[in-house]
Amino acid sequence: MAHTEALGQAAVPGSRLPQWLSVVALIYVLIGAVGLIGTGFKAATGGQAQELFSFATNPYVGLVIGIVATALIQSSSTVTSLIVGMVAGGLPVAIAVPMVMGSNIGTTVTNTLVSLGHVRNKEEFRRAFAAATVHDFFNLLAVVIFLPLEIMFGLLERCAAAITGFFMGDANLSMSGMNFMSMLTRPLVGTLEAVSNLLPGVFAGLAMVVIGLVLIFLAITYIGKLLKVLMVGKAKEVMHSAIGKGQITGILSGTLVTVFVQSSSTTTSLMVPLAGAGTFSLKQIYPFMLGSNIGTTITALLAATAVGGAVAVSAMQIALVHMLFNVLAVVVIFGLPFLRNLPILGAEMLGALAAERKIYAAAWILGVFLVLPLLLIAVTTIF
Amino acid sequence: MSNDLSGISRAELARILDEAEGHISEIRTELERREAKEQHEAIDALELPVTRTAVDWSQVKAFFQQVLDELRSGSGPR
Repeated sequence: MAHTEALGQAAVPGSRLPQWLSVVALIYVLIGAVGLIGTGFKAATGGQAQELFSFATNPYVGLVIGIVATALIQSSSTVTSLIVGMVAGGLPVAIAVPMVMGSNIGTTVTNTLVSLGHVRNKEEFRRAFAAATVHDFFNLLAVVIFLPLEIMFGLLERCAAAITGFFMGDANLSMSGMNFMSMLTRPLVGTLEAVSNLLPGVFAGLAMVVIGLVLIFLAITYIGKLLKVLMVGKAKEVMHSAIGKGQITGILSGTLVTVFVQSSSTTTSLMVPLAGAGTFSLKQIYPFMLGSNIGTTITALLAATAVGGAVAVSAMQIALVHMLFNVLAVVVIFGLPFLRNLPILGAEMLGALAAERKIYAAAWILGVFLVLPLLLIAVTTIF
Repeated sequence: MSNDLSGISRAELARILDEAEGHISEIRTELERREAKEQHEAIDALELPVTRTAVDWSQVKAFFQQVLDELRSGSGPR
């Protein structure tokens, strides 16, 4: 595998404390950065986020923003953390929900691109492309099911609000912006705010958003790198223990490994070569992919702890929407036998077509991640 | 084994069937054991990408180049 290197085994036991301290420091930066984006977004929009983002009240536009942003950045964790920060800055949860759904689709581009590396061997490519696109099909199906329910009933938003209300109640509202995490990150956020405030007017807010976004990106990137070293042994242990077990164990395994390495793209991309080589079948890979969807939601939840005050509830609500969406998608699609095999059938068919003619693979990638988003915007804008 | 089973007694047929089923079960178990062994070995050999993502852009570029070539040649299956 190009650009790879065996990690973890090289780490000397007892020398890991600095790496763990670095992870803690980076989580601190991540949480602080989300808080900074919240403040900056509020300042940049002058409290008029709803009006400024009125173009995204069309849920399909929100969906496309999520797809494109995640496909470009190749990190759903970064995008969902950014969305949490924007909600903390006043972006209505209803506008943010389709964005979160879009990030789920956007994140699948990574393993699909990884599968292209197997193109030289027809059979290998068929298996690898099918393994990658089973994730695409599942996430597309999840949006096809849950976006209309969200538009009609606000299903996820309401469920998340109920859970948030149950656990947080009005406590944060009465604490006037004080919560433990936001107090803890205050020195970092305060310093960056002070630096940004050197700029005039709206630029100060914009600078905070940009600095926050860069910090989130860097923090998530380096947390991922460190955790790959620190957790590779645990991740392999989990994967070993799932071999020969049932599909539920496969889902749990995918969830845990993704939590360990803090990147669904990493876990799903790992499985593609294994499927390409024929070591794991598509049916064995499928539950693992679904688990990665659930595991990646931990980052947004972590990010939401950064937010204090009245908007803390909204920030936690959108993080919970991310989790609920992925958990419910697995429960509904994987739980219902007539839906369960649809992604596998779609992926097998597409894999076979793509192995025969590569144009089908190219059409799928460009279609799902470029043409479909543009068409959605065009159609919903015109009609 | 001869295809003509008419001369074999019921008891003998039942015994042959049991034996065949036993063999099939053994073969299936052996196949599963080998598959699990291969999977364990593949996981042991797994390498995590040092880069942020495992995408090799040169391979992506090469893929789209092949797509263009396929379109230009107007060929069928490759």
